[in-house]
Amino acid sequence: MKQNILFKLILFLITFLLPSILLAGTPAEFIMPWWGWPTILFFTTFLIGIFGVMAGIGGGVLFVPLATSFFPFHIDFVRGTGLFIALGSSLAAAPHLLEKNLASLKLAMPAALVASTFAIIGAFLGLWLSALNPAYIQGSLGVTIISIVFIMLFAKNSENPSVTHGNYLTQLLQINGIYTEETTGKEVRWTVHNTTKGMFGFVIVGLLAGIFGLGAGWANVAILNLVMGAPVKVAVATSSFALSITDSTAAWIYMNKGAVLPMLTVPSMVGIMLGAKIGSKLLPKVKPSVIRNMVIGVLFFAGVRSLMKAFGI
Amino acid sequence: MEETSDFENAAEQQLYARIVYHMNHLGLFVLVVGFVLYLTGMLAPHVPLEDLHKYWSLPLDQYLEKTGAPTGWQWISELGYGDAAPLLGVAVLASITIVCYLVLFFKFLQRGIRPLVAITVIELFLMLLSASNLIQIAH
Repeated sequence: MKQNILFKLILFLITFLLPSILLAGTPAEFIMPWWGWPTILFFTTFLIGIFGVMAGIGGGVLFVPLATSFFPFHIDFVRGTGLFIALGSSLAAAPHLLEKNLASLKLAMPAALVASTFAIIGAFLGLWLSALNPAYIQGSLGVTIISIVFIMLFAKNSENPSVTHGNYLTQLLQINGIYTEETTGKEVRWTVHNTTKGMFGFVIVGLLAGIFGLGAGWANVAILNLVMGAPVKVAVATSSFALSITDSTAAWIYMNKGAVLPMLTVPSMVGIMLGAKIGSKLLPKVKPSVIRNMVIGVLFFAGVRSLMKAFGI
Repeated sequence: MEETSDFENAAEQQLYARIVYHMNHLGLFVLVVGFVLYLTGMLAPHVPLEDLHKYWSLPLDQYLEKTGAPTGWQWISELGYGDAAPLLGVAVLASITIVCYLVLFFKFLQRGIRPLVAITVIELFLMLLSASNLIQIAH
């Protein structure tokens, strides 16, 4: 049964992605009616929404490399759309995560402050590099995506890391909290350590969000869980919530520069939100590790394609 | 682990969740309405829909030069155009965190939590700075 669902999903993926892969960068884009690419984009983001939720990664990290590699849109508009996809997904999930106390305001605020400072720098850096030569962005995106693939393959989360006491910064900012573990009904009390080290990690997260329009949820979780010692559920939820703060700053810059094309942004946001709803319903029926491996494969392929585009291959 | 009494979630967390929930719905509604007006042609766009594919593969500066699309806050005066109308919804979505942080600022100030007041003020400054379009890059 599970394999049957998985097979259908893969078939869907291939059916919808194949035209964009085959037609990308060919004169076909001029033959297709104006609504052709936005329609393919809508279905692609719908699938990204489904697979993103099931693989436990944000939509932006899948969207940006796929859209820059297989669609005719310029990377400037793809990054602008990627930011709004990440922002929209994060805003949609935030109320539930905050109400359940899985996302922590006190943990997200300092992390997001560091990340958003560097997201602003990253957004300008990205637009500047792209103006110099889009191949710089395309190439570094390829390298980043392939690095993410390796991080996803080798980083192992720790469910409930042992944190005995926080450091000075943790105490000063009162970074701690309580949530109820629904599977056991028990209250989990948590705090974090290595806060300063963690904040350095968010410098990278912010830069990547700004330069490429990537949500960077994959990196947030690793920093919050493995470096700072937050329980994995808190790390995942806080990461998702913190993106709404970080991406807001970078999103304004892209909007002010005119890099938000409604014809790309609106179908993508609607597609990914609808897909995420379906994905969350399918989640209990499929094996997350299979989906995760498949997504890693797609990401690797998109990363290589980005690199090839940068070198004009 | 620390003493039990040391662990607590921010009291403002639930209020923050409610603001995001309501503003997100408002933003999405405005976004979709703007897009429908654009798609149906009820509001004429700067760039005709059938010509859009000629421009979306251009670098940003060339796209702006050829289409005259709005930058900065110009879109407000051009909301009567189909391709500018959805930007109102985009702006609402991008403003949600600013509104939430303004509320947090007053709440933390009332409670006298100075480190969190400081974080809120710096974050608000950054968000307003990027929204203001005051910072520019030289090409």
